Amino acid sequence: MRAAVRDIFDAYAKQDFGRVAARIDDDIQWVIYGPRQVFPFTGPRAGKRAVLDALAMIAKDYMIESHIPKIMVVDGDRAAVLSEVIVRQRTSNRALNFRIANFLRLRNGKIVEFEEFVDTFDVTEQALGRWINLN
Amino acid sequence: MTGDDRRGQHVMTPEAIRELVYLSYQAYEHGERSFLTDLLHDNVQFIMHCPPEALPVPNRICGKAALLAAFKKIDEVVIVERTELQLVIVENDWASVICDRTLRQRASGRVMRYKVAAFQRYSNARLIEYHGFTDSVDLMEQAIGRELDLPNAFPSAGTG
Repeated sequence: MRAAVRDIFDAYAKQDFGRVAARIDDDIQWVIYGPRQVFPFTGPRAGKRAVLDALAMIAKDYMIESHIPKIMVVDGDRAAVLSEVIVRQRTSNRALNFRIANFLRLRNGKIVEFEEFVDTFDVTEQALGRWINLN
Repeated sequence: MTGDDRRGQHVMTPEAIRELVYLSYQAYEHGERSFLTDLLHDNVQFIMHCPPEALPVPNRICGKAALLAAFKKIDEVVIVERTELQLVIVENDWASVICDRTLRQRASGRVMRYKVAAFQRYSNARLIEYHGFTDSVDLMEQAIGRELDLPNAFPSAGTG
């Protein structure tokens, strides 16, 4: 289990999307929480095709500079991973630096459930390149 | 469920940590702050990846006294209506959880419902490290009672 999780994160960090795709179950349930108007790839996705589309949307807008798992908790068929991430926004060349929490369930070495949490307020400000006005 | 290793440390089994996690979330939901007082390590490091404007506490807190003060401050501003653990994953001295939480702002009566993901490390049956994550844009909008003015960052937004 741990080896499979490490392989998934290693493949994603290296932007080896073929290897990532091979680790996605056809019936995956997937969600990235966040504001869709800023990050169009957020929200729930069902099925491998929809998840690959979301990954393609991420890759269209952002280039991964580093994606390093710092904490990995593995329990049965589930894992939780806290990673430190740096991505570069292609349109602005801005670097976005944040921590991310991923929760996965694997079946036969493939992801069947995926949830992603991030401090969306902070990452949105980084993506927009300005503070969000709260007044 | 617990034992002592060669350094005299109080070693917790995953089952004991899992039970402690469930008890601590129940205690938080029911306002039993004395349980949390016992739970926290003196040198606890608490990081909530969320702007302090959403919840009225610093998002990085060091030490038991400061964290208890932060809980007190939160209790002054919101009522914890529900804390439901949806997932608990335990390995060695780490627990990772997803929690569905509902708070009510005392001043406005507004209800804030959100998911929190957390990574927690225990030492000697005490919580010594906490990293919490939430969709903080959503939480902030619930806290202030209106949508944030966020532009579409990319022309492609909405085509997916």
